[in-house]
Parts: sequence; C-alpha cells; structure tokens
Amino acid sequence: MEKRTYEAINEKIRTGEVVVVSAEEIVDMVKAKGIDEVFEQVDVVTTATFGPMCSSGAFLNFGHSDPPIRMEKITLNNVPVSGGLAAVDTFIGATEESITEGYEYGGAHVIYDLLRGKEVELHATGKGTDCYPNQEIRRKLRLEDLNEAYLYNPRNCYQNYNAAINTSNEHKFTYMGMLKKNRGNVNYATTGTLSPLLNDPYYRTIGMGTRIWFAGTQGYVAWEGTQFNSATHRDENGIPLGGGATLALVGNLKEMDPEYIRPAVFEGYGTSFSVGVGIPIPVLDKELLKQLAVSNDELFQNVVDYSVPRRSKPVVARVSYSELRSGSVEIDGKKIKTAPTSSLKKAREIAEKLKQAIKDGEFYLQEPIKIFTHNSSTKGMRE
Amino acid sequence: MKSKLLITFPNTTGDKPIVYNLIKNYDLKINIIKASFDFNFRGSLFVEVDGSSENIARGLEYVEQEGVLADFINSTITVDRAVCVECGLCTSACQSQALSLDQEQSLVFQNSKCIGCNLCIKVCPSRAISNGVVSHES
Ligand code: SF4
Ligand code: SF4
Ligand code: SF4
Ligand code: SF4
Repeated sequence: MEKRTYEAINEKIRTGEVVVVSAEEIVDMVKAKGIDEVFEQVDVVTTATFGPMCSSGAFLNFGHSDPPIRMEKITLNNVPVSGGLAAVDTFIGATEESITEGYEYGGAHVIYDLLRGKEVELHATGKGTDCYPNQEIRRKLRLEDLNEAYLYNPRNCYQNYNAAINTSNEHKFTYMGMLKKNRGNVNYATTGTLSPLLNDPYYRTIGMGTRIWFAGTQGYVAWEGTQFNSATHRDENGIPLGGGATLALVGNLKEMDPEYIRPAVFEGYGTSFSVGVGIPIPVLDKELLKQLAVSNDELFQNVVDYSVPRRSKPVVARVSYSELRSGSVEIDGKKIKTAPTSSLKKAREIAEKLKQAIKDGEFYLQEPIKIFTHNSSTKGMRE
Repeated sequence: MKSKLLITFPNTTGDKPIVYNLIKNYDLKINIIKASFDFNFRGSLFVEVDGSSENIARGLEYVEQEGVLADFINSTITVDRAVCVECGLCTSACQSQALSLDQEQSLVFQNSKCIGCNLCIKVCPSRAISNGVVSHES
C-alpha cells in the first residue's frame, strides 16, 4: 500500500476495524518497527493540546424580551461584552475583565459559569427605537435559556511557541507565568510530540473544515487563525523555529464538557482561557508518518528573553522539548528550572478520548475543504 | 513527631554551632529546607525537625537561651483537585520542591517541604491553590 484515503479510513471507522494510536505512541511504534510496517498498521494518529490561549470567546444570542430591546451596552456578571452586533447577539471575549473584580473574573469565567449551568446576570441598555422601544433590561440567564451559544476562538493551537526566561534583575509577570529575575526559571507552552500542528507541519490534513475534538464535542477548523505565519523559517523536520501557523476554531458551547474548558488568570497580566483541542491526523502516506514520528528530542523551542519590552525579543538559547519536560535546562552553564503552562496530563486524556470516539464509530474524519496558504507571514503594526 | 521551624539568627551567634548542638544533644533529625544568610551571619534557617516532642521542646529552650528565635510554622497550602488542571505552572514558583510533576505528569504536593511562602497561590492560573481550608463552590 502506498496511500490511504479518507474514504478508506472512514469505512474502517464504520466497520470498527480502524487502528488509532496517539501521537506519543506512534513515536515509539516507529522506533520499534520502522516506517513501512507501522504505515501498514495504523490509520489515524490523535494529537491534542490543553493550554491557555487568550484569543478565545463565544457568540451568544439571548432571545428577544417583550417589549424588545436593541442592546447597545451589555455586561454579563459585570463583564462588558460586545454591543456591536444585532439587537440580542453578542460576542464575549475571554480576556475582557470584570468592571468590579478585574482580571480575577473575566470573559473566560462568564463562559465557564454558563457552561457549568450557573445563572449569569445580563444587564443591557439601548437608546430605544421605534422597533426596539425597551431601554434597559436585567435578567438572569442560563446557557439553556440562550438560543445559540458557540465558542469561536480566532487563534488556537500555535504550531510552535517560545519558552520564556527573564535576564533582568527584577521578577516579571507575564502570560507565560512568573519569570524570576536573573534567569531564575524557564516556562514553556507546548505539549511537544502531542501538539497538533507539530505533527502536520505543512498543513496537509489540518485545514478549513477539518473536524476536531473541541472541549468534549465535535467542532471544526473555521479558518486560518490570526497571526497565521506559514511562511516562517523551519528546521530540517519542517518545524517552524518560532510561532508558525494557528487555527481559528468553532464549536457548540452547549455540548462542551467543563472538564476541558477552564479560565486561567495570570498574575499581573490578565484573564486567559484554556480550551482542550484534539485533532486526528489520517496516516495518508509514509511522508506524513515520518512527521508524526518526530520525537520530543527532535522538537526545539527558542528560549526568549521576556525582560526586553519590545515586539521582537532576543533568543537566549534553543532547547529541545525533552529537555524542557525533564524539569530543568542548562543555559550558559547554569541549570535552570523549567515549568509548563499547558497541561500534558489533560492533553493525554484528550488524545485518549478522541482515539476512543474514533474506535467507537462516533467520530469520522473530515478532509479539509480548503487547504491553508503556505506563504502567509505576520506583520507587525504599521508605524 | 515532625515539625517545621523557622529559626532566625541575630548576628551575634555566628560562632556557635547551634544546629550541631540540636542534633547532638537533643537527638533531633534536622532537615534544612531553606537557608538564607548574609555575610554577617544574620539570617534564617527553615528546617524540618524530627524527634520526640520532649526533645523538640528542650531543644527549643536551648535555642532561645542562645538568643535565637524559633517559630513553629504550620502554614501550608491546599490544592483543590477539582479546579487544578495539572499544568504544572505552580512548580515554577516553589523553591522548596514541595510542588512537582511526577512521571505521569500529575501534580504532587509534599506538605513536609512547604515553607508557606504562598508564592504558588498567585502563580496558579486556575486559582486552585489556597492557604486555608478549601471552600470551593461548585
Ligand atoms: S498571549 Fe499567549 S495565550 Fe495569549 S494570545 Fe498570545 S499566544 Fe495566545
Ligand atoms: S434588525 Fe433586521 S438587520 Fe438587524 S439583526 Fe434583526 S433582522 Fe437583522
Ligand atoms: S498551577 Fe494550579 S492548575 Fe496548574 S498544576 Fe499547579 S495547582 Fe494545578
Ligand atoms: S507555599 Fe511556597 S513552599 Fe509551599 S508549595 Fe507554595 S510555593 Fe511551595
């Protein structure tokens, strides 16, 4: 066999014969048996990630009150949400902070509370129009009271990212956690060999329309994520040296599992959101399998100095993901403690759940409707 | 009995082998969790002491006679497991290795190593760590 098709894989899912392994398991399998043998055996590899991503949010529709109101200024549990859509539509951004509590309670917390079945207080005002005469409304609403509620994350699943260090002589508080002064620690954000876009670095199977496991339900890749940077520098395995591609994701909030969607608060920085994502990769050919078999000691990240308050920050070192995971890295002769911001434990659970869903015939693979652009690069802001 | 003690040294005691005497004369096992001293021998030791409660009490008496301050520390933290996502970020804050990730990438908290600095509380993005009894509304 030289190639495997989506149709053949989906047929095997239907008959229950499909063979699925996680992106961690495939590494050891290929090491033990070689590409040729594993290619014959394995149909699908599951990848996953669970880490904070600020560029997250949800679209909601509240339904019309009687008399109706055209909501212009809106808060949910005191967190401002967009009044810039139609009368009772809104977008709630994960990082928006509560007027009263600041970043300890943000948009991410509102979405999480809705998901947990809690009542959330809506307060909205409008100027009052002939067709929408009501000028102010206060209501307690639950997720089940809303018409539509879907998560839309403009940017998720960074292909690769940086590890963070602080070379200055004062502590820094960042979205990468607390960075202690004088290179006190290194924090990093990736699930390494489990990470979706590290396994398909040229976006052959992950594109617009790809079906994904999204916080417990089935969602889709909606578009290229913001700051999509496919025209980036790559190493010999095709892995971007820095950020690379990102994904815009969409899924039905009402079907999600609160176990896999959690607000995050970064001291001195703000609110963020961790949403669990699992992406199945069909083993279409041996070329793709080689990418899937790349191991943690072949995946590298730049360690970047976050004490430099500029857009591009200097790279202090380049370290492998296995070094980062080992708990410490050595930089210029100094042993420095490392800690992750993303949960490998949760990512593993997600890879398992997706694997099971495919085996149980509940999850079929969807070929991308449109392949991502390969020459897109991210610009800074115009000066 | 195991206790955690914060021993604070004024600069006049630098020449006395206080920890040695505690071990030798009072049969205490002393595990130094954290030490910080300046060049004048002013500073503090954070230790875990293991021994009979009688010996610990006598040892404390001795230490105080020497003009050294010793306080029992019982502050510790609680990780609310229902809220924790086991990311491991809190381990970056913990200097005493009380918080760590095990082979399975699960978060492990070892109370005996905790010096009660509370740094992890603010570092945890899930706000899963508190320094009192957990009161987590579900
Ligand atoms: S700061 Fe980090 S989490 Fe926030 S959008 Fe940027 S990459 Fe994502
Ligand atoms: S008022 Fe009309 S245009 Fe506006 S959202 Fe409703 S239907 Fe659409
Ligand atoms: S930082 Fe918080 S959520 Fe992450 S492992 Fe530690 S206690 Fe758990
Ligand atoms: S309070 Fe301090 S010593 Fe105790 S676990 Fe937290 S960071 Fe570690």
